[in-house]
Amino acid sequence: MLEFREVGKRFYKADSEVLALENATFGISEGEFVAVVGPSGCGKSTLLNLAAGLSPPSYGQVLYRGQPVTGINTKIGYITQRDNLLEWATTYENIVLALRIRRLPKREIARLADQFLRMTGLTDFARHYPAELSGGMRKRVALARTLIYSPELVMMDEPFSALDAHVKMLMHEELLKIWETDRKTILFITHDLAEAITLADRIVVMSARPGRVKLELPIDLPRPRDPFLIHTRPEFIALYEQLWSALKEDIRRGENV
Amino acid sequence: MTEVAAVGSRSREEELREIRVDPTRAAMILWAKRILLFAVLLGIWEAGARWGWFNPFFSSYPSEIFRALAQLARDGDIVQHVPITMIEAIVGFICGTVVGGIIGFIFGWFQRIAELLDPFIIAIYSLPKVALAPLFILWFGIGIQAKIILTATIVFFLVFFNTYAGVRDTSRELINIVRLMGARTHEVLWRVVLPSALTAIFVGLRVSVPYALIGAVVGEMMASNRGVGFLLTRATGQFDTAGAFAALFILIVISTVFNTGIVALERYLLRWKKVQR
Repeated sequence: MLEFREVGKRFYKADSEVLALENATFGISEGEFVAVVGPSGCGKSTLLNLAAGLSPPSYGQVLYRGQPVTGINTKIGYITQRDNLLEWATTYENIVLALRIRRLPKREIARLADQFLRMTGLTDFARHYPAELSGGMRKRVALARTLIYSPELVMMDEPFSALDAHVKMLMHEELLKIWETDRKTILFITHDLAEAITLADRIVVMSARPGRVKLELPIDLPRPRDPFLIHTRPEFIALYEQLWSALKEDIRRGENV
Repeated sequence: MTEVAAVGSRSREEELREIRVDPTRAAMILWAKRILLFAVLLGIWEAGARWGWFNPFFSSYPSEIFRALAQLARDGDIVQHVPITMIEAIVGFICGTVVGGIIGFIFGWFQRIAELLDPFIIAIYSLPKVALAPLFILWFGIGIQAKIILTATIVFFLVFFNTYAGVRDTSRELINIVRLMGARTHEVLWRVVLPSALTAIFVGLRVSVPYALIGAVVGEMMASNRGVGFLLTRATGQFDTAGAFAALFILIVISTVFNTGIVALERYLLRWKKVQR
């Protein structure tokens, strides 16, 4: 569905050149949940911007359903680390934003909003402003406003990294619950290995800058998974160790960029 | 019952008091204290002038100022001059706001234009705008146009800079997210950039209120036979300190009214910022 072929991305900072991504090659097929992990500054977010068509690759190809991505890819939904809600709009207005932009009929908007408010447990907070919501609730609004317009591919850039450990697990539970009902294609970026193993079907490990694909690891833990208990399974621990040994040296290198 | 709802839903620190306080009662007590303080200060002023602690010729005193105000009202001066100053300030304020807002918005969105014109803008900005007053009077005469234009020029820069900064500070990520939702440029501007910049725009509007009056009053003081600024120069020209204080009092009232209006508008448009339960 989405394919990176020998993709590279350069940035220029004053007179020096920064190679953010080098020969990155991997793909995601329909309905797959792929997590990308790597040390900070390894070009993980650059991957998302390339796939979204927000910036072109310096070389190589980014293919979406076989076609090179040129310009904004509106088939994609984007969830960022900061929730980026419309602070001046209520929960309801935030959730229906994309539907209004897409000019859906009013009744359809109301129906979908109702469904997603219920699904994320936000019905009682529909008229609240983001400033009145907790961090976890804000994340759920961000999730709902993206999933509501059913983008074919949902990209998440460290969406839960700002949450505390317990709220994070609650969000994992919620995300898995939603994902297991509709099996959207998800590209999930994180630096948290446990999070990646808990959620994904496959993990792509990136090296330190310039980012390269270092390892691809299928996660064959059975679903449905329980984010609160999965950590204790021996398979989980084995995968964690495998990923960690792939990442170890790069994390030290990444520190120096 | 609010306690229960608040758990987990509010991480911000609430105002906690150790004693139970009725908010309406607390507000009334606060106002009573303010009024009392004001009355005491006026009393000292009045007593000081009457008992010769200082020379009332220069300082005047409250009861005389009140008499001067009553005189201005009786002579029809208030009805004649106050509306002039208000019109100058309001029309200048609106013109400056509209033009400053639009140009600030354009500059914020099209960074290249801002980059190109930056030194010119800074140069004009660093000029004290009231220094333009004589020229405006030369160009537009001693009528209200010159004062409106002076006011508009002052307000323009304040609103321009704040709007510019507000537009530029809009989250790029948010703009991208909304673009990916399929929004076109005009929708991005309308649904994201404008509301996001509104906070900064209102900061500009709030500081503009007193400056709008500066434009109007300075213009009137320089060359005019109408307006509160004229009343002020007329009074001081006749060594009438009570009349001058009366004019100042009128200006305070006008400025307070403007400010209250802007704050009310801000409360309404930015109601998401501070939500009362």
